[in-house]
Amino acid sequence: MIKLENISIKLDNFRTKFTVEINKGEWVGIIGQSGAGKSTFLNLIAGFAQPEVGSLLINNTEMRNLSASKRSISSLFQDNNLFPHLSVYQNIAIAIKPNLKLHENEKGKIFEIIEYLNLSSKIHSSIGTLSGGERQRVALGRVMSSDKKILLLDEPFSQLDPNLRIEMLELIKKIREKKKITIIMAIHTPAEAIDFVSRFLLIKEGEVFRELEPQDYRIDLY
Amino acid sequence: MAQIKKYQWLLPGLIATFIVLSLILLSLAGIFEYTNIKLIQQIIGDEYIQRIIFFTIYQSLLSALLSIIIALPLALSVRKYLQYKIIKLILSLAWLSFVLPVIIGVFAIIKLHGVSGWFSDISVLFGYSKLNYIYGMNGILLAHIFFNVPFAIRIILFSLNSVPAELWRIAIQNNFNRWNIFTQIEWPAIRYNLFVTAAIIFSLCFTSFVVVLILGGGPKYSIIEVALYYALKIEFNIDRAVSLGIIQIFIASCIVLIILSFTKSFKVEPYTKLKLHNSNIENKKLLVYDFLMLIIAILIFLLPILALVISCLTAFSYVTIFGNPSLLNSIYWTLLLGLSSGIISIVFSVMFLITIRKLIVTYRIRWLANLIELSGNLILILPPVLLGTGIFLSLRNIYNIQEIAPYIIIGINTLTVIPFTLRIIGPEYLRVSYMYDKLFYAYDIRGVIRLLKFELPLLRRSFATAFAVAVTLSMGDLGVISLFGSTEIRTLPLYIYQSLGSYRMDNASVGIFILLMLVMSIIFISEYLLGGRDD
Repeated sequence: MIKLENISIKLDNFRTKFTVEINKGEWVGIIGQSGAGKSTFLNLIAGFAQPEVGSLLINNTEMRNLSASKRSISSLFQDNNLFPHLSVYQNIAIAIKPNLKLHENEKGKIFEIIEYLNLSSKIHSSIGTLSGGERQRVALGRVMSSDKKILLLDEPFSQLDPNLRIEMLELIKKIREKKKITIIMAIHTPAEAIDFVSRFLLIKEGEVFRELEPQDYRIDLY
Repeated sequence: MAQIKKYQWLLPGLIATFIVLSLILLSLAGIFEYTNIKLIQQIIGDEYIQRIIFFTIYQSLLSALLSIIIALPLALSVRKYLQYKIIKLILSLAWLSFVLPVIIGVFAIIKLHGVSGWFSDISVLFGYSKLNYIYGMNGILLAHIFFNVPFAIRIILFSLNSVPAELWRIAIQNNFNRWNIFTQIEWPAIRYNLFVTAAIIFSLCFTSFVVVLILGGGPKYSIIEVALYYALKIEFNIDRAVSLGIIQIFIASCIVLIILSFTKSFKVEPYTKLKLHNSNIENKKLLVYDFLMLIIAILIFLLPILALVISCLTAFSYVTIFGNPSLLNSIYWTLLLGLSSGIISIVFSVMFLITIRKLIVTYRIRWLANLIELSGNLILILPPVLLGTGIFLSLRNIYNIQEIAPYIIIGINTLTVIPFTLRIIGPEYLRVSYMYDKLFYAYDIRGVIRLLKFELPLLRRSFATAFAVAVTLSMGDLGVISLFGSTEIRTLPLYIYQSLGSYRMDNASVGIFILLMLVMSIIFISEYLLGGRDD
């Protein structure tokens, strides 16, 4: 379980004060206007931003003083998820061993993931030759190979077309079921996520303003 | 008539091109007038010349290599602490070594490493003898490192700035160690620019006239340009000067071609514009390593500057300035020649750009615009001393060179700084044109009104920076003034050089102090008063 209690950090126009609980294995959608604090919410959980006060518990362990590298968390961003000088295979392998010197069983795991993501024909392709959807699938491959239990998604598919966005959400759903991970996803188009998330957290001026059942989401609530 | 009026925008660029090319051709004519087959055979067989070429390339390669080897770990360590004001201050001071007149930097190096420098004094304090390592290869390398490492650091930091924040975050979440960060993030981001930087440093060291002239310590450690100066000014051996000139043109052309072919996407931003992401990624043990790197940076950049400032302050007195007519005369010529070259180079740059802008923005004839711009940059294959040598050879039988020396010096220094002023004003000038051309056409704003009432205010900062760079570069010139200068026409760099040569260190210190003050004043006046900079 992830538990945030009055986690506070000063932003440009306001100070955040996040208090919320997210259950293990849950998929939560984070919604709100631009600048409301959605990315900051994710950054605080990931450890990319340091809170001034408050408490962040993951499985009852205080995380505030734990560096980002020590937290069992993966992130998927809107863009720049991949190392442009590495191939598809290498970009996925980097989560297992950053020096890319893999044992045979580790290589087998990467091949499995690549096959699962339907990227076998692109295994040695360079990143520059991939489409937007393929790139995000490779990034998901890296997340899968890392075996981390929490996945943070920061509007990762907003640059894809609507059909592809749904396709990616379906893929994440399968990965979640397979790997039993907790997902927190900031999203700009909540209507598309209604069938996937268990609830939405509406963020307003640095606070969890409301919790909504997926079907209760309405744009005028912003 | 209407047809002629339609193309009158071509005129400024063509006139500027004609004048620049005339000076360059005049110089080349002077050099080639003395060239024949016998001379070329002589060049190939002359052991002295072979030795000079070897040393020129050898010291340039070694300087470039050492600068990069030192700059790389320094930049990678410094990057993590850019949010601290003290680090920004160190970088700004280090950057001074790249923009100040070379002779000031050389003097700083001498004050620290020289026989009577700080390190030598410390050695004596501990009962050892004075240290005498500054003249020759050691001094040349020390100075080139002092001048070029800040430049390389700047390029590396700029390149790292292109790494998206997301990649640093992925690296954190996937437990990259220091080596992984270097191989997977830093090296891919910097390798291309690093190669270009090494090539640029090589070319700067290849024509590093002032450093080698002062710190080379004699003909044994001489580069082509300095040997050419010795041949013309000391030995008056025109054949040898011409031979060296031809070699210089050949090698410099090759270097410029190589650099130009790699520098299309090469761009440098000032530190203040950098937004680097502190990755907060390192092992705490690495803090000691980073601290060590910062100490090395301070030793390389700050100590010489500190030695320079202290030496200037202790040597300074109003009596030495106002009671010394030759020093006052040097100040007069420094200002006169520097300001003239600065103003003329700005005028020429505007003339080039008026035509270039029209060709690119209105007519989209890029090849012709590039050709005109190239004529402004041709000087890169003819370093100032060589250009001066050629002009001297062309005109020596027609005019009394001493009488026209100030005009020649202004002409050569103007040509030397035009590539810089073009680079500074050009992109902004085109941007303004793209933004406001429709407005200018709609209200029929053109010609001098457009230039003075609209473009000049819009481009105030670019013009101010270009002016500061042009004047400070011209004021710092030692190559051309040492060829054409005399007891009557002497600038501060020549005064300092002559004082150093006759071991009058106090005179040199006062000269350095005044030159430093003049340069800083020019930068301040240009950037803050003319440029209206308020930050």
